Amino acid sequence: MTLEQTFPGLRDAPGGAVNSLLDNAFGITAPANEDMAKTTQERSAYLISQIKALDPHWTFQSLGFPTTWEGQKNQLNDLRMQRAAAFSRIEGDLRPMQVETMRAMQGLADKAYSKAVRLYDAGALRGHLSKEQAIGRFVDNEVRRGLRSIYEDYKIKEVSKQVRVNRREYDTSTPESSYRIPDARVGDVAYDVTLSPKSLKNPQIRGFFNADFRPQLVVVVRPRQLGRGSSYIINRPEAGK
Amino acid sequence: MNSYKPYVPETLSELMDQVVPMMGDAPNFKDDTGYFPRKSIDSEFYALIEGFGKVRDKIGEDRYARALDIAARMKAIFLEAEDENDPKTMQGIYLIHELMDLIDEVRAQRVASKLKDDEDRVTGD
Repeated sequence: MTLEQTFPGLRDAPGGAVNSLLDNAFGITAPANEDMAKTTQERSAYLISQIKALDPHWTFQSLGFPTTWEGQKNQLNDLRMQRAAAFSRIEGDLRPMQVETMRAMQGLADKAYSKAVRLYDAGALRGHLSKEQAIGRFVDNEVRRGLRSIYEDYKIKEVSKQVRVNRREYDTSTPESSYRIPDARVGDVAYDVTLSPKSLKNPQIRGFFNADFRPQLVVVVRPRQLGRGSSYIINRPEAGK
Repeated sequence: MNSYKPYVPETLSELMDQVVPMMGDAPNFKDDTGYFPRKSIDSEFYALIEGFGKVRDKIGEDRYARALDIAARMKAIFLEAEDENDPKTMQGIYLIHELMDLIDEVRAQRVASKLKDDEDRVTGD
């Protein structure tokens, strides 16, 4: 699955366009019922067959089909990540990992935001930061830690140096070799976790596009508690704009 | 995945990324994402202690010993706590603050001393 398959029309969108990520793209808000369980079971079987086609030695270790919607959702996310890892490892294709990274970051950001609000209200997030800054810092820390653990656990870092978390991305076209630090980078996609909306008007976003790895997209991930359409993709602007 | 192995932080900033979220996981450190079903208090403290080991030369022996002592007391308190509303959980969180202070202190010193990181930049790492 590629970003274009996940978000039809993305490829044809004009440079600099902002494409909202639909909630159902992450499979979170769907209701839990028998039809959903059947669909999820079929989807799991499909993912398992895809991974086995890529890696005949791969086996799915499971104690059985989960009985709760949360468990079923988690199993699907695990299988999607395993498929993306197989594509990276065997085919050298990072596109599925670009999608799964986006999905994982959104889930991590949502969970982190809820925890941060609870901790802030309990007086556990101390310091001289405003509420938004304190929550934003916690969300950043949590998402980066989670991503590093995912890439470690699914053995992504062993196969690609283009999968990076919070690493400097240089723009060597400038005399001082300036750099930006996206929260994550997978191939030619940069990811930024933020509470505040950002666009091409933001120097940070423009800086990402100017980096030597020439990202085609910047994915802005914001906790869904901040409202519908909180996360979105910004296309690479055309040259000269 | 059945063979969950926590990522071990390699730099001071990565260590901060490990320490801060521990406040939200305390006291049980159970996974709530679905990606780490075998995550536990043991796996998280393993990553924490091994992470301090990776930056031992940067923080110095005294601070390293203090970090291990704080981590041991933290884990003991969290093991006694029932849930996030247990007053002991907040006691453990105060110890997490001490670890954050320790890391911030080292990073500030490294910036003041213009010590460079592995990419030859002064960042505190």
